[in-house]
Amino acid sequence: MSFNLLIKELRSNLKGTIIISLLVILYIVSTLGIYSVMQENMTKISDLYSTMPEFLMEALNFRLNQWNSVLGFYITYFVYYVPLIVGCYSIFLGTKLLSKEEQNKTAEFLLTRPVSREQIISSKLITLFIHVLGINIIAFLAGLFSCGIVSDWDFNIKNLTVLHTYGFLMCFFFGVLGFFITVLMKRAKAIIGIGIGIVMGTYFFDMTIRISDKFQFLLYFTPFKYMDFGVLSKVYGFEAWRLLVFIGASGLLIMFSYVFYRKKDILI
Amino acid sequence: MFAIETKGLTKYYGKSRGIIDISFQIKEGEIFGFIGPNGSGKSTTIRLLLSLLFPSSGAGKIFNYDIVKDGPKIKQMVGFVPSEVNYYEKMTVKELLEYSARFYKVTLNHHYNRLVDALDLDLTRKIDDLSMGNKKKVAVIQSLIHKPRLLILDEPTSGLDPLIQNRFFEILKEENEKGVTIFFSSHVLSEVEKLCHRVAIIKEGRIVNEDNISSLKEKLLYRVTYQLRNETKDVPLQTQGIISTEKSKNVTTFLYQGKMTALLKDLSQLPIEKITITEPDLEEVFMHYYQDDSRKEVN
Repeated sequence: MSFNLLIKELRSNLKGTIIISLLVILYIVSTLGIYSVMQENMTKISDLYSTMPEFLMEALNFRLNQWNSVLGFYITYFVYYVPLIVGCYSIFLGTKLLSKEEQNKTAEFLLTRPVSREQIISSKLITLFIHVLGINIIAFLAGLFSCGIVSDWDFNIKNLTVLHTYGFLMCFFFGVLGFFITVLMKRAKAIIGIGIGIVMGTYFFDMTIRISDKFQFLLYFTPFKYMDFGVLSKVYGFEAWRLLVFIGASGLLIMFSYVFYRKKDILI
Repeated sequence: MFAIETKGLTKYYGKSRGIIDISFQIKEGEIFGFIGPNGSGKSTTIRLLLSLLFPSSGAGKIFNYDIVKDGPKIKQMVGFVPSEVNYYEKMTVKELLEYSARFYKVTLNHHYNRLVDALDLDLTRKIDDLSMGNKKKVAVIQSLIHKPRLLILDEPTSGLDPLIQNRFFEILKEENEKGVTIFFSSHVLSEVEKLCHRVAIIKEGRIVNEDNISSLKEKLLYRVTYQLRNETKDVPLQTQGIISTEKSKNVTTFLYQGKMTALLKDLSQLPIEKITITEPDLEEVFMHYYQDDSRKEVN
């Protein structure tokens, strides 16, 4: 790893990370801010939602029977703040870290310094890890304090921690996936559209699986299926196979990134 | 030990030709010119030497280190000036030079201050705000701050004004006197002629000639255009080496290869009103000089 490169990368991507962090804080705080109001009017809200088709409720992850608990409510919206918003940013950051050097032609400067390609990959991946971890810690703290304040701390903190850890692992997986895609590209570009398409696409796969048994094969193409959203379960916790899927998939993508980038022609 | 040594270095981009079978050796302390027209393969050769690209076949060594396996060790000893400077636009010049220096684990000392003064560079400006010439100055300074043993220069003078070009050549000569080897790629014959000890000419991806500079000078072409006084009849020149003559009214243009004194003596016999002698562009030189010889490789 090149410490010099790492510091530069951490600094140059800070602005985007701060903006996304603020967006996530705002989203979490405003969503949970209305929770107490909703709780007082739960009967009316249940009547309102009961007119919606059941498949739509399932697709949107609306489980009204869980809304008497703050974590039950939180989990409904969690998928939007962490895996979707932060996931999209992670995949964008993953593609940007290498591609901006090639697009701005600064790769020529970087690769003519006494630094190996492995050191470049390591520095960029550590940057990705720190930024994605940073946003997820901020999201966790925002969720923790918001849930705590609206419920007088009457919820299982361990379950919230486990949920956010899965969220972080999925976001990091998306980031590494974006990074790997740019390593494979002959002339790397920041693929904002494709990145968001991948995150949203895999989320829609998950929705499709939830509402129809005919599309179960899609579970192999969506990381959402490997997240555990059952925070209200008494036995909720880390499951080795789920951790293995995320860490293993990310590890493989990282390994292949090193292998392919070592021999990649930098076309400027 | 050679500073640079390549054997049959070849690069294809898919089916397109990059360079084919490039072999040359540069001794330590030498200034080696590498000339060829645009698209001839100069930059591809440099990018292979700097491990930005990987060869399709063949091999190369810099100070006995393999260009494929030993990239970081090689780059510790090499300074590089690219033909087109693309640095981090949001950084100031000082930040960029400090960032570069940290990779080599060197501090910016009096050697750096001397370079900054010599090239008259404003360190506080952002890279984005610099002209092409000033960006080139930054490139020159960053290539020298770690005191490299080898300088690889890819068309380094483009964008520099004549005054700064002269200072730059002085710096290069000083560095060479200290023992620094210089690989100087250019498409401007006159600057290669001014600086280099030996030269290789590359055309369509192949080296077509490798020679010392005095032999090359004898082969150089000049474009001569003269205008005779009105109503004067043109008389054919007798000097050997005149090729490709074009006439229009009382203006005659031709390419000349040979000693200038012989031609000037012959021209002095004519009632000339106006005369210009210029260096033709490299494409033209190649078109005339190497048209029947493009596949020949001379070592």
